[in-house]
Amino acid sequence: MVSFSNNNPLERIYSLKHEPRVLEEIAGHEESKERLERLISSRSVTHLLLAGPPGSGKLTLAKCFARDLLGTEMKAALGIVHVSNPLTSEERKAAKRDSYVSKTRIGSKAGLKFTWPKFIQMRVKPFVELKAMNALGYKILIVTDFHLLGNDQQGFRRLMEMYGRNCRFILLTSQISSIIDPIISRCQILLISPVSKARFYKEVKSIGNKEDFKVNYTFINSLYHVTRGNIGLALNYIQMMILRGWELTGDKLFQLLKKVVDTSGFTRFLELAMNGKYLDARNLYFSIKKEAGYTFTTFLETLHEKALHAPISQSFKAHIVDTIAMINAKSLPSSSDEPHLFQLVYALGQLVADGSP
Amino acid sequence: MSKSNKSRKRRNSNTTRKSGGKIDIPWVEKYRPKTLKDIIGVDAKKKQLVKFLEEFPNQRAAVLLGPPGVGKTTLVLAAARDMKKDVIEMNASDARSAESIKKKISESTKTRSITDFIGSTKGKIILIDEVDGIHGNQDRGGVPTLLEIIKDSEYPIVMTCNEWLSKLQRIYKVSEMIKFRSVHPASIRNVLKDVLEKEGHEGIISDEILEKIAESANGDFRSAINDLQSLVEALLHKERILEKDGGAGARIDSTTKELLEDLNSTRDEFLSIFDGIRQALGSTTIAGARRAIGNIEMPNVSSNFQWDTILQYILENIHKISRDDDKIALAMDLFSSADQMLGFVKETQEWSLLAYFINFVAAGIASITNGSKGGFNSSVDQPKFRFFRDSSPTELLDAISRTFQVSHRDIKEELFPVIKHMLIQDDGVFKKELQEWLDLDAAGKRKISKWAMK
Repeated sequence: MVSFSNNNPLERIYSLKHEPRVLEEIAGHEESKERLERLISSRSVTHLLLAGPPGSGKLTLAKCFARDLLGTEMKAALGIVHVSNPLTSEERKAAKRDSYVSKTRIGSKAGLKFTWPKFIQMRVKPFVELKAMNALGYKILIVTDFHLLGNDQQGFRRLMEMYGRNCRFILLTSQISSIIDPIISRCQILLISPVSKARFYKEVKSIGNKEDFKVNYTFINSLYHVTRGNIGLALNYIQMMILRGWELTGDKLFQLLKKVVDTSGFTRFLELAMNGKYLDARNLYFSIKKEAGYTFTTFLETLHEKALHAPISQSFKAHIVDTIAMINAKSLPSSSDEPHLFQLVYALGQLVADGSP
Repeated sequence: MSKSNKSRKRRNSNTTRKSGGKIDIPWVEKYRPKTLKDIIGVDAKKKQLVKFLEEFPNQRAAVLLGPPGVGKTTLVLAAARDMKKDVIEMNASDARSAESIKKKISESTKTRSITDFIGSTKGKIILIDEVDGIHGNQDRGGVPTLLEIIKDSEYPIVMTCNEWLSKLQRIYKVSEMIKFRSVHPASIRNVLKDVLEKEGHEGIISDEILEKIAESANGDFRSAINDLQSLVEALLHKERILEKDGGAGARIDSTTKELLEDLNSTRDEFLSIFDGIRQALGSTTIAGARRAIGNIEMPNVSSNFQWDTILQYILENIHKISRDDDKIALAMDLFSSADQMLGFVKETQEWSLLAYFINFVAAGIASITNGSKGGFNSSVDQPKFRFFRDSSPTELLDAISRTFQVSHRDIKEELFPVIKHMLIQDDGVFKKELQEWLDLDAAGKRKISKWAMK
């Protein structure tokens, strides 16, 4: 799948260069690896659902699993679909066109409209419809951020029934509460947790030996805290620090984060909401969402981190965190964000009105 | 239109209930004019129908065209009674084939009506109600069959129809067209007054309110009379309760308005999304807002998304009705709960919980508008789909996504910072290689450099 052409410049990025290719190379996740290896040796693969926090290594596990299973036939038999990638306007139009059967056609379906959800119609169906031509007799489709499908999950379930023989699905999600029961009951579930700190340390250190950088334990401690065990992200941070010519220390790491991660949008969002500029705050949210590809939940998570570091009183921080947490929980069953976003900005405004920060 | 018509008919049958040992006939039936003489104000139509019936074989069918409740059926029944003819009523769905019609006619001849024994009827009229519902061009039933029936029928055929429909054009061509307009509120009011008098409840409802009922009926006799009956019954019921409580009858007047408002709920036609949102945001009570929301009909939106769309509309326009942040904050809390409930409904497919969603939304609106004058004077905006220009270079994004099979979000969050660093801090080799890899032209190169400096 990942075919590096010899002159691909991106190969210099540590996280891509040292990305595991086979299950064996993956750090940690012993239990999941063992289960996946058993599946490979039995050659009978069921649908899989990998659930775990963002950056815990679900996609890497799934990719390596597919690579080990399919071997050389991987290129034709593996598909990866990212639900978080929005459909382009051309794809939308094509979906609309395809879903209508002309009235002049003969047959019971003439003049009918088919209502496959657009995303499934454009991204998933073309792949699963094609007959698998490999030795195994079935293809593998990896779907990331599956929970973002929302109401379209029912359509996906139908697809799993219709094409389950031809294609096995590996669904990845960081929000298992939003997955509907019929999907869960059709899949083997693997819960993926982030790698342990010790394993993280060992892995980063060994890559350091190859790339000629040294890390000490205190730096790893901060790094682990910041990346929540995401080794790829950790390597990116290290590389950026090296490029800047900085030492690898915790202090410098936080200095980098201020520059890299905070696009200052979040602080600005808090300011706008607390100063009663509700509509501006809403617009800012949509632009942050688009720019950085956030979901409402990940937006709230980041916002609450930001609020903790904002220059406001301790009790006020507590109130903000309380508000964000409540709204986050409230927004979970629903697929829309705007009602909850409005509640958030007004609630933040109310906090200021009730007691000054 | 025909849908609302049907629900009205159901309502009629609901109002038939036992109270105090005797069966109440719905007033609509009780005071339906029995003879042509009783029908006022439509002389031209009367004449036209009578002429058609008398000269029957000349013109084989007649179509009475007009909005519901203006007295089309009443006119036919009264004419039949005056001319001593039997009426065979049929639905459009009965008229599937010539055979089925013949069967129905012969049945009715075999089981003769009582008037037959008296020997006073001369012939029959076939009344096909609501031909709107008929299929256009299908082989069974539908317009062609109906045309055949009209051609062969031994008896005059009278059809009623609510709207002019192009699929029925061929029927209109062979029929006598009798067109009705909706009734003027003044005539409705007169009739309502008459009915009240006959029922012995004159004075219980003020002229002003009678006027209101007449107006809100949209020129529909039937609905106006139904409204009147429900209102009177509700008032009498309330009176009985108040008497039991020892309260004064004077309180009736204040409750009348409320009851009337509630009754109107069933009377409103379906609303377009714009009218519905305008009405909802203009109402000052939960009941009012709920009614407006419930009446919204969006034929082009799949029912799964209808409620999301309504909520989006409300959120888009809610800022126009108040500037009071405290109130809006409370409303937003309620809207958020509404959305939570809707998500729960969709997840569990437990649509009975939808009522809570509607009530949450209505409560949100009412919490802002309550105490104000109400009424929504601005224009209703469509929810905006917000497009923000994404400054990240799409060529790079697509290329990485294709090669490494990572989602756009991960690339933006995790890889772009590194790539920017490499572009800036590196000695220029990386930049050159990247441009080659992406196969960029001059403009593309400039774009990437600009992006990296940001």
